Amino acid sequence: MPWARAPSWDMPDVGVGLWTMRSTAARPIHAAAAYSELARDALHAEALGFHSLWLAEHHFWYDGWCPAPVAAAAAVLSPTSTLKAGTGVHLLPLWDPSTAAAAAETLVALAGERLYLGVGLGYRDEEFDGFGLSRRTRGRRMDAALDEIAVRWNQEGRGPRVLVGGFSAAAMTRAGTRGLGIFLPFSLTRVKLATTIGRYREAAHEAGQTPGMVGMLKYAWVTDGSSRQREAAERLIAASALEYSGCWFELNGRSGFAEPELLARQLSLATANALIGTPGDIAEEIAQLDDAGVDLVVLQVTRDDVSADHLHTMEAIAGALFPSPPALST
Amino acid sequence: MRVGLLLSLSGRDGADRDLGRRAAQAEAAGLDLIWLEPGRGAPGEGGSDTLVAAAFVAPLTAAIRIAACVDAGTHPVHIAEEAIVADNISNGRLLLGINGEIDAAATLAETLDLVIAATAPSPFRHRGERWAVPANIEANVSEERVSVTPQPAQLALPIWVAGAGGTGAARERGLSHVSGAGVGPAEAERLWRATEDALGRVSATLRRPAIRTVAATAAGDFDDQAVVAGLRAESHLWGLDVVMLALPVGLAQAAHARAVERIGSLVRPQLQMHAPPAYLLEHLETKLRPRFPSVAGGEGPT
Repeated sequence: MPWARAPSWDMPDVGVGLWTMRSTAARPIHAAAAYSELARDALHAEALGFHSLWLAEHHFWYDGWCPAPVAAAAAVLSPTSTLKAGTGVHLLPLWDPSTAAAAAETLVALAGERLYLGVGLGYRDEEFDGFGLSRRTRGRRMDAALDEIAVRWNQEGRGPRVLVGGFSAAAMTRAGTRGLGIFLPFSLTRVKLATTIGRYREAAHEAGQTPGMVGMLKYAWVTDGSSRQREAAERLIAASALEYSGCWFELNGRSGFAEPELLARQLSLATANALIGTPGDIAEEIAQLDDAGVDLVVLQVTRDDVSADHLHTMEAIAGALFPSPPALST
Repeated sequence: MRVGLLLSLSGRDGADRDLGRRAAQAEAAGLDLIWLEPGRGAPGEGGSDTLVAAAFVAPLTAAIRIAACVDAGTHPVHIAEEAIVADNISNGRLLLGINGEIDAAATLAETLDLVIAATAPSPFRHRGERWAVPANIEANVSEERVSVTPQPAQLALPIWVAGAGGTGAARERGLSHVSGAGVGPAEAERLWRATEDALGRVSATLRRPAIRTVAATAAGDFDDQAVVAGLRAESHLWGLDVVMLALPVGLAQAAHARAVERIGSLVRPQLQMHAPPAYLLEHLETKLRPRFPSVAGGEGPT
């Protein structure tokens, strides 16, 4: 069925993510090659008409998961001219606020106002311990860092745009009361999405703030629309999150792999709320997210653990989303 | 001699938009490296992150080495992580400069030890005055040793030590110390004699870098013969072998570009041989000199 929706004014901004530059056992790659693909993919994302490209952060893991996403964002912004770079998310409590501020402000000075700083608490004990911190302090450290740098940027109307990651009541209050945006995880159902955005807006209004940007991560997988391909996509999405979730999620006080049933339930959250279908179906679902109050959708198109061509996915979705992509019109 | 260009970050919005272009110009002029110096504004104004700047210029250049100078004091594991990312983005072209002031010797020494450990392949454990990695805080599930990942693209990340407080710390670790603009030829000679005495033959493996300023006019012209003579004299006196030339702050775009071209065409070529023969110099004079206006009474490197 051809894509026949009216012009793009009722669509949220659409970005792609999450680049991690991991070298997993299933998909090994030299780190320098992974970072050179990042710069190449950024040019590709810009040419296809995407709004932004998003990075993630973790530390001390065998696969070399990018530990410094703002430095990596520099490689996204220097070869491009209009594409934005985002962090989904930058683990702010692990950083000294002045160090994090200097990195972000330097990039804005070099590249202009094209940086979106999604920030999150972090959850792996080992990462906090590596920086001499107790995980228990993460909420306080996040509040202090936001007060020190994000509120200042917001008031001065400069610096990167800050989106607070998460969906808990605490996260919505943290963002709303400071007039900062939010960055929601992929796991929210449609109902949960509405209540979460409602809670966020309420927190902002009660504090006399204007609600900021609502961003959201969504798994995206292009199929021919058949149920056979949908089932295959669901299996692959679950497989792509298996190692990460199994190793890092603490379920019932144990590693995810020790609790296979709970782990399977976690993985089903990713598949149940994923955008799976023809490019037209995916564009339709993205438009529905706009109706729900989402301003920016970041499509999870990279697969660190399974073999899949994210450039193909990007091209197919861009073809449905952007009626005449800049790449073809110039 | 390796000839590079010092590029200073201002740390202010809008003022650094030219950095990518300037790095590409330095590469186009055949220079060996750029040295990125942090903007050091008034206290409380916030610093600037030269490793982010290195990551930014890397995709805009292909061959030039990128040296990023950072101030000791930032958590060394974060310095290491940003340096590793910048090294991979540049496909192994990063050099890390660590700057320490004279009143912060302990912080500099601990920073060097931690950065060296964090950029090396083996898992490490550090216990120092200021930092403990991993901290093994009771509430945390933690490890005996940690590995910072990924690894740099280079098998060993080159580290130089800058700043007035850095010479001793550099020497103790077998690293190069950078003679800053304020360290003149006589002082540099004294420092390197002491390094030779302390390290013996190991000192032969070290580059001998210095930052030297070029007194260019507002149009970007300078007396290149005086610059060449000054650098050659320092090469003979104390073994200067990598120079980072600093142009006046605030030079307009076109003037900056012209000065960099002159460095590439008239300064660097003359410093690639011990004594270039007269017929080569004459050729340079007749073929290249006319492209650049002469600067009567200009000053050499200071």
